[in-house]
Amino acid sequence: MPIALRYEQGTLTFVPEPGPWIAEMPWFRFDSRTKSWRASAHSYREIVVHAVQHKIAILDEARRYQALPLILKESIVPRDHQRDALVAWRQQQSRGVVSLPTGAGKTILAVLAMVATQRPTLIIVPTIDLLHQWQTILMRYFEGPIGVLGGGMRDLQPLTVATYDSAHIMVESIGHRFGLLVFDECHHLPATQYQMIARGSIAPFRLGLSATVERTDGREDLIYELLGGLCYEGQIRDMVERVLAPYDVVSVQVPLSPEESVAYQKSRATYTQFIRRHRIDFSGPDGWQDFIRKSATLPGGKEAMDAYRDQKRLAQGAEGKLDELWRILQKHRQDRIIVFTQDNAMAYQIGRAMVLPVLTHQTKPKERKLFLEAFRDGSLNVLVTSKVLNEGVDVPEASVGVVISGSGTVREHVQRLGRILRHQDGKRAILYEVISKDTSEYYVNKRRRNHHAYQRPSQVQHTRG
Amino acid sequence: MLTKDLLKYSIRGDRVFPKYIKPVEPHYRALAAELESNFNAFVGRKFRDLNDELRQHKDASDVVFQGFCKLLEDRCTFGEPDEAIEKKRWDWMKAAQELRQSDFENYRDFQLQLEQSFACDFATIESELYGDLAENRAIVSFEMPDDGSLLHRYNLSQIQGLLLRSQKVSITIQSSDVLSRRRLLQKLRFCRLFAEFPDESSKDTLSLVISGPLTIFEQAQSYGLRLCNFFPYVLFFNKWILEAEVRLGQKTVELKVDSSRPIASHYKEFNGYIPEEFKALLDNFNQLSLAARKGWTAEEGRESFNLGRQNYCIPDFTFQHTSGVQRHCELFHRWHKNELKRRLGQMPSEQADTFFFGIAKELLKDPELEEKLAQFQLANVSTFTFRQFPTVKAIMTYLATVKVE
Repeated sequence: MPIALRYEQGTLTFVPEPGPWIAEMPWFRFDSRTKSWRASAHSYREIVVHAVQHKIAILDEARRYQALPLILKESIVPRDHQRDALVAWRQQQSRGVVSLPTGAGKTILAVLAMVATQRPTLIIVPTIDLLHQWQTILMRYFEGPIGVLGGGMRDLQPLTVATYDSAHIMVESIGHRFGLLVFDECHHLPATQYQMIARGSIAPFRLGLSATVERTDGREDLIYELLGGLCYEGQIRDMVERVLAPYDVVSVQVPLSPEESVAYQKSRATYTQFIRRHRIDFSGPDGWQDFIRKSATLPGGKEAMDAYRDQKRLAQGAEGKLDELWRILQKHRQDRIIVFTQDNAMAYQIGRAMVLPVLTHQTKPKERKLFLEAFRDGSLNVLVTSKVLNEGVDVPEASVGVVISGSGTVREHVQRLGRILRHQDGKRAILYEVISKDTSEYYVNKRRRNHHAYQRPSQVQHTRG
Repeated sequence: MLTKDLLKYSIRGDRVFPKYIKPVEPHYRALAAELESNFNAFVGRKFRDLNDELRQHKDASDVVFQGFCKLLEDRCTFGEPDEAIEKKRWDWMKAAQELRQSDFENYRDFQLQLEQSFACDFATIESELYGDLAENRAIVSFEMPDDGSLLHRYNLSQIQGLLLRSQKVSITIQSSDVLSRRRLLQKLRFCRLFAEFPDESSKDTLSLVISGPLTIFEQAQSYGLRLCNFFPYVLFFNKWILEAEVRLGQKTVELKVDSSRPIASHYKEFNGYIPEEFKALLDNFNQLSLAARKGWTAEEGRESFNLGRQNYCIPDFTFQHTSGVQRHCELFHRWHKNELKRRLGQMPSEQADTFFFGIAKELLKDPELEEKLAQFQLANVSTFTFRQFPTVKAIMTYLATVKVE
């Protein structure tokens, strides 16, 4: 009786127990909990190749998919960088990560990769908006139903789009049903939960897509381990005008009101005194954890934490920012504008004050779809959002971005910039950064500018500063 | 479940100590009763209004207060948002978009103009524009906790909040209740967890090390939620100890809790019973002179076995020979079809000699089972069949084949 290789809850096992040749398969360990040899599902490809090369007769009961004929309904003429990226990915045995700026056509590259692979494909995306967007694109290029997992939907098809959260929940039951995995915005993958999607799947072919693969914690190595190495990288600066719209970055510093300024200085002083007194070092990796721990346990800690929040809230939500935003909206009446905030509260504050559509995770799926459609066709020309539009959502009509507040990470800023850079004839994009003058926001903004996206924008201006 | 900011614990050395509240503490009992009553009173009203009221409470900044509120919020069901609000929002937004095409010095002037266009106060527009957000949801129903149970639930959530950040737990249970131990082992499969029985397991002690399928490869915490879901089953036993390594930030600390802590389970108690026939068979066997002459006695199975591939079992009977030889018997009735399918063909060889299985004839009508059974017998595992319930004679027939020194 041949030995069967089986898929079991994100892992691979043999039934019945294998012979001594198992010692030559480094992917397997003896699992004393189940008294069987076990390997992580993501080693499937290596295991099968090893068995073939060493003429070990195994019956593959793990794989629950077959080749899938995928023919494009309408032809795609790839751009040079898309063709180069596809070749590079194929040369890495159809495994690897492609880093391209937003707007450079990562989705089309994935469609081409699916056609080249001819396997059932699971596409994993971070947000519901991206889920719908991918579904629409796949329906345009392929016959047959496109499955969806996420946002309350659970329809599994040979071509399926899933959110990271839903894929994580279901991976143990679907991890053997796809030959190709496409991780959109794959910089999310190193999160403990999300890693399990890649580890618990047997898919031999894997494609990671991101505009910003590198992570501040250096865990991009894990992405390369699970998906394959970086096989192609395109930079914003090399694609501006050819692939992406040319752009300006305009920084606007607005003063705090006298009352805000007094309150800010007071809170800032309370917070910084606590930090100095207890020698909290924010330049180290544990600085923030140290602050949380000390503020929870030491005298004056609660006041320091409250003060930290207050000064941040005052800087991010300064009244003058709303006035500045109004000036920008008036100046760009004919343009499509996305307004970004750090949190939902600020987004809704702006939405209420200026009667604007606000798109957050709280927006119902039906309405978020309507917002995006109305924004694309111009019946709404402004969208306010906190973070849900940071990533991937395709709004090529947007040409003006206004950052009212943000986390300060380079990644977030590059992503927000990417929202307005999709190429259209004659388009010139502008990203406004509205910063409270003489607050910590100024230094955060300065630090962000170290990224290469800022090294050669068409123009950088500082006004009201 | 409580969010991380609502967990209360202290770290001393390499250990973490959850902070419990005393379930009999009058202050917290009164607070729980007051909050339960508040939540109940707001059924049919907006959650935001309840929140506003709770924020005014003198204990509002207390983490226990906030923890109680979170647990009570989890017991609420909320209504669907009013679609009329969505329609009004679109009307206002489109009108505002048109109005923005005109020149306005500042947005306050724009608001004044909008007031006139709609002949309504801007404050009304402002408050109703996003009046269908989650915070404005109405509470449709509230599941009132049993008297005092919120305090236990709070204590349990403190531990679950830490287990969420662990990847492996060790549990030791002292109990002679076979049925409950058997049910606990069944819940392992239900929670999709794997277990190992360390050597210290004995007839009245069940020791388990529980983890997820990929835990042997990765230092991942992805199974924390499953461990949290499993833990309340452990609380059904009177004596237990739980140990786990918990990752808190960059630090790994040890969590050790036991049944002396004031925690109770909110799960439905294990049900089921051991039918009278089982006891009758034991009695009949032990009164059988033939069995006595041959040196065999029977007792209820109490030892736990890991038969591999998530087959954990406590046999129905254990037969003990005067020479020290033991044989364990598991019975499969017609409603045990799936259990039998799992067991067949997966019996580890080192345990095959010590087990024998009684199988209801009804099950053999399934051709797949019949075929598997044939293979199983080839692997030297002994079986016998029965109609309703095995007879002492059938068991003695098998035991007569067992080699004893």
